[in-house]
Order: sequence, then structure tokens, then C-alpha cells
Amino acid sequence: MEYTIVGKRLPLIDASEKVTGRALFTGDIEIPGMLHARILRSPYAHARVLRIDTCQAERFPGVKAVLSKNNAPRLKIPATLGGPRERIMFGEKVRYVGDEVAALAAISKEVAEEALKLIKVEYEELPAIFDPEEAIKPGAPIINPDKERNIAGSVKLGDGNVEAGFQEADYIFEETFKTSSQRHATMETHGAIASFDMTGQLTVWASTQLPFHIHRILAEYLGIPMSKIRVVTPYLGGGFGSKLHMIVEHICALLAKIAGKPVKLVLNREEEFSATVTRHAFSIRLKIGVKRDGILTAIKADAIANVGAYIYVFGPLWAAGDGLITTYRCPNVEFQGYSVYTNLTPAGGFRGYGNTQAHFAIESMVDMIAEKLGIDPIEFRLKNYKQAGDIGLGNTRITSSGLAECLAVGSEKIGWGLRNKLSKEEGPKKRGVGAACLVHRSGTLFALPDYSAVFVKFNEDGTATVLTGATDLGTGSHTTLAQIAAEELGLQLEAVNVIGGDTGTTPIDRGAFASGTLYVTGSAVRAAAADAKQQLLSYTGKKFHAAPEDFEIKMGRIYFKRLPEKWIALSEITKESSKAKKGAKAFLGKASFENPAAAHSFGAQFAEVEVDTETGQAEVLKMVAIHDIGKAINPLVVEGQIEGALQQGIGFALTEDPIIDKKTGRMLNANFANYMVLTTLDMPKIEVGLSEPMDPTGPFGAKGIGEPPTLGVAPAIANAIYDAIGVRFTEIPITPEKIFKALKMKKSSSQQEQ
Amino acid sequence: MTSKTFLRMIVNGEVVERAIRPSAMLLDILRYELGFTGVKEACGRGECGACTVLVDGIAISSCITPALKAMNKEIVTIEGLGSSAKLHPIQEAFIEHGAVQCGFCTPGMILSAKALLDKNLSPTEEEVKVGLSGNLCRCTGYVKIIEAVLSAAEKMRK
Repeated sequence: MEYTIVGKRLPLIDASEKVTGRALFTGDIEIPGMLHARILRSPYAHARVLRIDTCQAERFPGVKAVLSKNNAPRLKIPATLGGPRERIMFGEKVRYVGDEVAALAAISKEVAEEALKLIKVEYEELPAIFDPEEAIKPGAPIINPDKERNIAGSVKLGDGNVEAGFQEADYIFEETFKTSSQRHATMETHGAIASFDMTGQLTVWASTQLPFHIHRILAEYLGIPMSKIRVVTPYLGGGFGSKLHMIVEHICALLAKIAGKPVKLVLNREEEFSATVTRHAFSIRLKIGVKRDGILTAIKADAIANVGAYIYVFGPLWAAGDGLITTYRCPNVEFQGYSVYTNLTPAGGFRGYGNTQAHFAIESMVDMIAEKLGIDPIEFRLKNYKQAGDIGLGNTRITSSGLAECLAVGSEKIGWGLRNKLSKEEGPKKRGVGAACLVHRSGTLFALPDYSAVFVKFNEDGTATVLTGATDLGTGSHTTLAQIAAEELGLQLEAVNVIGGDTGTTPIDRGAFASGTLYVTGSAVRAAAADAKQQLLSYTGKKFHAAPEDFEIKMGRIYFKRLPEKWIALSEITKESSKAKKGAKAFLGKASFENPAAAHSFGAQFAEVEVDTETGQAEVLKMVAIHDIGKAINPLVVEGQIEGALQQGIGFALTEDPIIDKKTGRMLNANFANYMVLTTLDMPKIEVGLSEPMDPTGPFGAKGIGEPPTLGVAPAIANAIYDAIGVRFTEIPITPEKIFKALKMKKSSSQQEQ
Repeated sequence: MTSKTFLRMIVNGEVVERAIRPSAMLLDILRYELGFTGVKEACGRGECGACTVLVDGIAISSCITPALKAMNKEIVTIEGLGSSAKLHPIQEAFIEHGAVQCGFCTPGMILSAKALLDKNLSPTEEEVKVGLSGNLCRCTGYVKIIEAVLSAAEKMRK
């Protein structure tokens, strides 16, 4: 099928706003009379808040509102994405260093900072715990009194009989893998502005991926009907899952209510690192049984997810279970996962959402198995990986897969034949190559409600506007949604505008997460556009005494199919229908669309790594990432998603290491100087490729791409390091210290053997 | 109250005269007093480059540069680059090559690129990487940013 706009490498429709600095982000917005808020945070990892004296702060000139346990609502806030109703803001206890103790709003940030120092808090320090494996032991300090052994929740998945499966196995492999509480490090920190008007109408401008969830929860928390609240998302400076949680919006709204003035709260970088959300640190114990010929007989996975001080989501356990036990064909599988509280920054959604952690474990393990069996790791994967037609978690059928092509193209580009050879080169620097496969769902089928509604309206001049609740957090989704609408409507891209992420003007949207905007909202856009088009063509048909099906629209012209040289400008119709003194009609398309199949996106990622055996430094020299994403609506956007994910994935694997003080629980590197996000100088050579099998369930055959490219990076790198130096790392990040120590141990043990 | 000091500078071609707190950083004045919101604040410690502006052609982090250092100097913020009728070639290249995602690092990134190309119109890929190494981006992996700068350089040479 030839498309005019879908599939084209087109620049973002809002790029010129961004390159000129005109795009307004939440922090850029000023409202007359606006106050500025700051938050007083706990210096303790676990403490009872006995007394708070805010009198002096309240009297400080310029302070207009103070919020603390003395006046905050005693309401448990529902979590945004299916998490429990658990947290009371400004409650009786603080549960991590950085937890909110009080907040105030003043005429300037400086005054607010000064006034914070005048709040007197009396704490009773409680024993704290940071390691989830310690936290579940009897006698450990209890963080949430409603939950025994600090277990916030659990997930069990499985099929067949794993014990029988292990009986059948020729070999059994067991290993534990650990991953870090990586930070999102969005360039724009969390921020919001809340403003009540005199009628009690609340408007919140927020840097959020989920305006509709914030809308619903704010209404409940503040006791205001949803019709009295409007949540607007200005330009978003990145999210990656960190902006799936209500971090500042409710605080702003409460302060605005007390002060009777608009309040802005934008977090600083230290707060962003230490007091928002993190990736879930996972510990995964994996046991796999396999036949001599490489057929899997049983997979058993036990996972503990460190959720930190409060549980915001359960999803990562499901996603991890999905990744660990339903990726490879195996009749007997079992996953048991626990979410465990600790006195650390709460964990939330982060690109890959549990599946990134799962992939590090399973894709490292598969290499270990293949080596033992003497099978090439790629051959092993081709033999065992699920394919189109196979059943995945939740009894969903895999609708399309381009994995075999991804593996073939990728192995060629990385030079797979060099595996086992590069490390033989002389000198202190050893090179190796490694691979990993990946699979991820488009959307959250079965785990959460997953639907979006969209309006598409023709304007009087024949252009169209898409009204979608989706926010574009920088992924380019407004552009790809506009392409879908333009293609379906038969308009040029320039003739389509997207109004997004505003609960006051756009219909409900699932939110921008779980690789679902294009797949779910994109389908809703297409359906709403088709509806609008149908209405327009019905009108046209009546005018020319023909059926709507007799026409088609191309590049803004309505053609009479039987006489292709006959056409009329679409704008003629919209002008006529809007000007008619009798019989005037608007063409307003609408759709509500539910995720149909959570289509699986696949990919194969490869790394070439060089390890300096004298310093322990590992450098990624090259990464190849070949992805099956169904039809790429805009390859330029897709490549950008993949390239950016590689930067985050390499950081996850090697450099991004949140350092927590073991005594106090404080994050010691809550800044860009010491939390090492990759710079231009750290990036390897990157080759990106696409395999595009049309998915029968996605809009124009497309599947999700936001999260998948983060999944294979860490295991591909760990596998490449193993190829280079023969050391298997099961804990990330793989820092130079870890490599240096491991090489030293390897050397001393080999000397002992001699 | 601390006494104020007089600051005179030229911002995007216009003379600005203001009484400022002597401790104010250039970012405070440009972004919060003069309303150049293209000057982004993302770390406050000179570690990410989002607040980059040009002072007499040199790219600096305005969040850690005292405003008084700009006395009588020429400042260029992203608002001073190109015009709505005609973008600067670096801006055009960023659009065309897909070098923009969320756009939060973009103003600083483009100004660092401008400082680099104003000195060296034929940079190697390595020189571009060095020139942009103080500007963090969390979305793009830098691939298309580097491509864009190299392509802008080529166009600007013509």
C-alpha cells in the first residue's frame, strides 16, 4: 500500500517552536500575581513527625500559604496507574530522605527558600531499611503498618508444571541478577502551576504524561467535581515514565487554595534526582531447565522489586514476569514477584517498566546457557524465541514479528563472526561482541484500562484539527498522530493541527506511556478521522447525487473515482457546508478506541565493547539496533526514539549509578556532575535499522517503539564484556570498579589453580 | 536589603540597563527578569548546558555566571538567533535532521553549536562532539544533533 504521508521522514510539526526557544514549558509560564512554592523535605530516611511549628514561617513577609501535617487533608491519595490508595501527603511519618514535610508559597522563590528555614520540626527517628531482601525478614523495621513484612504486593504468573520441567531437563542453570534504581534525569524537572478563579474553577498546568489521571485524582483529593478542574500540559521536557505520578500538582493546588492566588512549583535538580521517582531496582533469581539440544523445559523466576517508601505502581512486576517467562517458548513457566518497601525514593514507571530489568536477566542467562551447550547464542534465540502466532501472557496471540530479520541484519552489521576472536588480540585492551533480543507490548492490555478517545474536526477552510488528550513528551507523537490524521483524511500534513493534552478541551486519553500513544491513540485518531471523512463524503454525495463511496480524497481534493480527472477542492465543500443559510453542517469525527491486542514489538541489539584490563574501564565502541515496529509512521521519529533509548540503556548498563549512603539513605550523587548521564563524547557509533512487518492490529500496521529499544542494551553489553574478558556480570551498572575487582579475582584464582 | 548594582549589557542587539542584585547570576536576569524563557534552567550548577548563552561569542553556562560578568558585553540568547522569517542554518538543520525531541536542551545545544561553528566552520565529527560535550540531552542520543551540526557547517561554508 502506497501512502502519501504515513511512512515519510518528516520533521516534527513543532520543531520550529523548539529551535527558536519559543516553546513554552511549564516553568516558562507566568501568571499575574503568581506565587512560588518550595518544599521542606525530610533529612531522615524514617521518622515520626512529632510536631511542626510553622508560625514564624507564616509571619515571614511575603509568605502567603503554608502546608504541613497541621492543615493538610488526611486523605489517602489514589495512585495514578492502578497502584493502591495509600499515601497521605504531609502525614505523621516520613519514609525517605526527601519525603515532603511541609510546603509554602511566597511572593518569590527566594522568600520561599528563606521562610522554609523558619519551620521547626520535631522528629522521632525510626530505624530505616534500604535493602528489600532485609526488609522482608521478620523483625525488620515496618515502613507501612498496613503491610506485613514490608510486602506491598505480589504477582504470580505461570503455566504448566515447573518441577516436572526441571525433572526433564538435562541441565539446570541458576543465577541471580540485580539492577539499579536508575534515574530518569529528564532535562525538564517536575513542575506545575495551579490557579483557582473566582468561580472555583481550578486550572493546573503540569509537566505530566497523564493529564487525565491527574484530573481524576485531583478532583477526588480536593473534593471538587471534575467539571471544575482543567489540567493542561504545556510543552514537556521529557518524561520516560517519571511524569506518570502526581508529584507536585496536588501540592500546588492545595497551596493555591489556601493562598487564593496562583502557585507555581518547579523542582530543582537535586529534588528531581532524590525526591521524585526512580526505576525499580530488581533482584531476579532465575532458574532454567534445558535439554541438551537447547529446548527449554522449565523457567522459574523469583523477583523482588524495590518500590521504595511508597508504592506508586504494580505494573513493573507484571511486565517483568511477562519478559521473563513468556519471551521464550517453554511449556513450564512460573513467576513469583514481590514489591517490597524500603526507606528510599519511591520507584515508578521508567521506560521498559520492569521488562528492562527482566531482559537483563533473561538475555544474559540465555548466553550462559548457549555457551554451555555449545550453541551459537543467536541460533539459540532463533530456535526458542516466540514468533507470530505464538501465545504470550494473558492468552494474547503475537500478531506479527520481524525478529528473524532483525537478527540477520544486526549480526551482519556488528560482525558477529568476530565473536570469540576479538578477545584473542594482544594488548591490555580486549574487545568483544554481544547480542540480545527483545520483545515488548504496545500498551497495557489486561493490566489497566487502555483506551483513548479523539475528535477530528474539519475547519471551514478545509483544514482539520485533531483534539486528543495525548501529551507529546518529546517523542514526536503529535507529529505522528497528525500524519495518521492527514493520511486518513487525504490532506497535506500542513493542513492538520493537533491540540493535545488538555482535559478541558480534548476527550479522555490513556496517557503517554507503555509504548501506547501511537498504537492506541493513533488508532483512535484514524477512526475519528475516518468518521469525519465519512460525514464530509456523505454531504458531498448528496450534493452530486452519488454515494459517499464514489469519492476519495487525496491531498485536499475530492476525486470522483469513476472519472479520476474530475475533482473538487475539499475546501469548496467545507466552505459551502458552513455558509449554507439552510442545511449548514459541521463535520466532526469522533472515536473511542480500546487497545485491541497489545501488539508485540521485537528487536535485536548488538554491542561491541572494549575493556581496558588495566583500569577496568569498559567502553562501548559500537551499537547496532534493529527493530521490528510494524509500519514506521515516521522513520525519522522512530530512529530518534531508538538512538535516545540507547543512550539511556548504555547508562543503565555502565555509568548511571545512584549512590545511596548506607547509613542515612541519602542519595550522594543527586547532580549531573556525579550521576553520569552519557554525553556526546561517551556515545558509541550507532547503527539503527528497521524491520517493518505490517501488524494487522495497529494503525497503518504500526506498533509501539517508545520503550523497546531500552531493553536489549544492558544484556548485549554484558554479553559483549563476557566475550571480551570472560567475566560474567550479573549486577548492573557494570562500573570500572566492578570490572577491575573481577579481573583481579579471576587472575588470582587462575594463579591458585596453577 | 542588599544594595543594587547597575548592569549594562547588549542582549540580542538591544541595550539593557538594569539595577540588579550583585549576586545575581546571568540566568536570573535573562530568564526571570527580562523574560528570555529560551534560557532554560535545568541543574543550577553549570553541569548540563541547558542555560547556555553566548557572551561576546563564547558559550557559557548562564546559571553559574555572575550577571556582572556580562557588563558592557554582547549577549546572544536563542531568541536572538535567526528571525521568524528566516531561521539560522543551525536551527534549520536541527529541524530537518530530527535533532529535536522534547526541545528542552535545544536552545543551549544550538548556541553551543553556534559558538563552535563561528570559530571553526569545518569541524570534524570529533570536534563537534567536543564542542557539544557540555550540553546534556536525554532524548536523542545525540546522533541526529551531531549530524545536524555537521550539515549546518556544510551549508554555512557555501
